[in-house]
Amino acid sequence: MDLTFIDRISIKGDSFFHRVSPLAKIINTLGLIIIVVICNQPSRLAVLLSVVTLLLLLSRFPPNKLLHFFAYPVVFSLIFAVSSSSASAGYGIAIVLKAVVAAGSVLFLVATTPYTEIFSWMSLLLPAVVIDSMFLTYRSFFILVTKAANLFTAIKLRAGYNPLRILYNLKNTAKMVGMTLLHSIDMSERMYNIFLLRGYDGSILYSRPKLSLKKQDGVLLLILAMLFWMVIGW
Amino acid sequence: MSHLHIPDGIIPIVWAAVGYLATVLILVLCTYMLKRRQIRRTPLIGIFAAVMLLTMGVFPYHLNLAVLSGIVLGPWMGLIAVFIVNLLLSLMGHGGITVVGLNTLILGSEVVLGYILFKLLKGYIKPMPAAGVTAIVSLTVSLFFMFSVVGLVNLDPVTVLNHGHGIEFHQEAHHIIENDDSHNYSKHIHKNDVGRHGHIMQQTFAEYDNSNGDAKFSLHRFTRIFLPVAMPGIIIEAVATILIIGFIMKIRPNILC
Repeated sequence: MDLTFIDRISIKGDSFFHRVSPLAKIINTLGLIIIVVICNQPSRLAVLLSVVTLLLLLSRFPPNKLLHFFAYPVVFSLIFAVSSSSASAGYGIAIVLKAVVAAGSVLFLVATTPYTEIFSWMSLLLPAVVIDSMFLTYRSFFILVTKAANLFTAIKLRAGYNPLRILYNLKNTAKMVGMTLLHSIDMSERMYNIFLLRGYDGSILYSRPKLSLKKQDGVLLLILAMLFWMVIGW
Repeated sequence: MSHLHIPDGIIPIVWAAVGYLATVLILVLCTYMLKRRQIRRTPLIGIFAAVMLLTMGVFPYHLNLAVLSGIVLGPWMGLIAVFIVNLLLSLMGHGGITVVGLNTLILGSEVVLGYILFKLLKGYIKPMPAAGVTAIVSLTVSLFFMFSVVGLVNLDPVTVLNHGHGIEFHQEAHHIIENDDSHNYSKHIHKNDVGRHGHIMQQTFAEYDNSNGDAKFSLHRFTRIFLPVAMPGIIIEAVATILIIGFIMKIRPNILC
């Protein structure tokens, strides 16, 4: 899972779509998901996939990474697609395309919008404890990734990992997870004490999401309107 | 892989909405319970969710640690952690954004069962075997819960009732398809309607119709495909849970519920 990559591209990316307001991108993503729900025809879903892929490429998402990200929904939806009792290939293709288009539209949002903006919008819907925890998950993930990677390298250097010895690997992996877990619990204790020192009273304050739209948002909303017309009016 | 995140487009949107509604109610209950019990250790939820994300994506074997989070965090914090994990995963295309609610209910069942069973069993047996039994039971129940969710929202009641006749029914269906050039299935239905396999033939008719458009999901086929993948995953996850609990017991046993 390339959370690190998504974080980097969303913050440091400098495409046209990075400058579009988060509100327009959220409307676009929700709209695309509604279209995916409504649309069942593989041909139209293929057009949708082309548009979403184009949006991602225009936001400078590397094509090889895109294939990697699309692999998840393809594999998962394929299991469901082959479980169809029908011999129709169209049904299977539609299932896979629906999963990929929905994943692509969400990916477009997270790859072009900094996580703080997304979380501030989510804070309008979710309880404070959930949003705070999510924020801390995001922050601590990167710290833990580094720690775990170092630990994994150390285990490999000491011959603690051999691709052919599953039980041996599992034993060492479990210890590695256990150590990471204990380390993370210590980290959470420290973090909680620091929060208390800074006056934490059960919720972290976020900046309120901006409700205004900019001129360049029109492009994205126009694309969405055209897609809606394609699905409903075609 | 002991679990499967349901992608978008599989579950009818009404059921996805029901899943979200149930999850929202659970989150409200969790928040209320945390406040009532004055558990204000938000960082622990966040950091545990980060560890779960790490074991799903960075460590080998794609462990989900939902059972372990039930054992360590308890049900209220564990359910919030599972929701966060599912939401963040869906943003990466790992499981659908429309089905975060249902995926949370499925993984959440592992958290709740993990907590209850471990608490119950550790009074009778040692923590490591208790963790093993807890993990296997919780993961198996969660797997069948997922099968039920996916199956029940997609299947016709007729298909469910004919579930046991799957092989027989498929053989007859193929026989008819091979021998009928005109594909006029309604004739076959009437001919065989009064026969021993009348109900099976009716199902054949339904499947043929579905192949032309509105196809049906087969829980029987789905189970046959996914079960052989999931069962080794469950064993690996259970062994990992036993070993992690063993490691924690040696170093810091007081953190377990």
